[in-house]
Amino acid sequence: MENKNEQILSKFQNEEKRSRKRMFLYTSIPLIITVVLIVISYLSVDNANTQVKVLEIQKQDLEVTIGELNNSVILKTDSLAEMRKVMELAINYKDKRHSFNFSIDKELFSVYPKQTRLLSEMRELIDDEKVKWHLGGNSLEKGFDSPSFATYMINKFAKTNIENNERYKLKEVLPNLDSSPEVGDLVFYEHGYAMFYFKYRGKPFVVGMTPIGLASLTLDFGPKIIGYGKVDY
Amino acid sequence: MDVDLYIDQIIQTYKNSIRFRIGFALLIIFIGLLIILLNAFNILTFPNEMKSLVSVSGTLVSSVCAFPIKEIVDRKNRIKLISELSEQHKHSTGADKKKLEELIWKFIEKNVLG
Repeated sequence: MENKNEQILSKFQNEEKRSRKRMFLYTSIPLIITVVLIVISYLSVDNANTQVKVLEIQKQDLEVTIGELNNSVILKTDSLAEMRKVMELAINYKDKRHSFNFSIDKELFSVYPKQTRLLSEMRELIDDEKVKWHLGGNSLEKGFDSPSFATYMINKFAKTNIENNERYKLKEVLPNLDSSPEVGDLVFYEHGYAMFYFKYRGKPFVVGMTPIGLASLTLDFGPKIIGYGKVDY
Repeated sequence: MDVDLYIDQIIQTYKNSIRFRIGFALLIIFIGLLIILLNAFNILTFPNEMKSLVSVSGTLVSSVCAFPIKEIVDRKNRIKLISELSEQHKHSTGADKKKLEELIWKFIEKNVLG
């Protein structure tokens, strides 16, 4: 009997030990689940925040790109509007042509020899119709735009030398004249025209490159005159 | 051995278990409250979006103390019952005493051993 009672007591004590272990196990399950959920949530939030940051950077890049494209569109729109004006004027040039022949050379040569040679060359080029209008071009083969042709002829006939990268800044490079240009000087017009000034028997005319090709035109052929540049011969 | 001695040993074992469980429950409550307080004072560096989740987790951890508390209550009830039976056994004589002794052992076998 005593042994049985001892056994019961022993079993009881072992059972208490086991119940302690069960308590640890049962309480640890929700704790482990909580920790796992916290970790998963943290990783998800962290990942989402990283993606948000990446998307914000992409958004900024896209905004910059949109800004640049907007500027580009504005520039192109302006350029198109400009070209439209130029083409409209080109259509009206035919009424503003000024014809000249060799008799001008004879009268001008004694006073303006180099300028006369310049004029002769341009007349030949007009007659040959070999030189074409080409926006950005700067050679006989490729063609010229107005300032490029003026630069080419100045470098060929005048003492003044214009660098190729300055050909679109002729108005800043050449000495300005307030008024009364002389034969061989440049007349600057709106829309970028740069035409050589000549005067024969009191009648001024200009020669230079236009969208319709090399032409001799009246001084007031269309666009507004914005200045004159002195060319040294 | 006298049955009273067995009963004393059983009660002592229960009391040790109760003390252990009280300590464990207090520890769990403390850990849960610590999580809540550290989160509230921004000492834990979790993203803002997780603040409320961490607070809820602290509460959940604290609430797990219900399990050891339940076992404490259970054991206290058993101590009370066994003490009652022991008291009855002490004040009884003859056949009643013997019956009570058998009853005590049966109770121990059934309730104590699980």
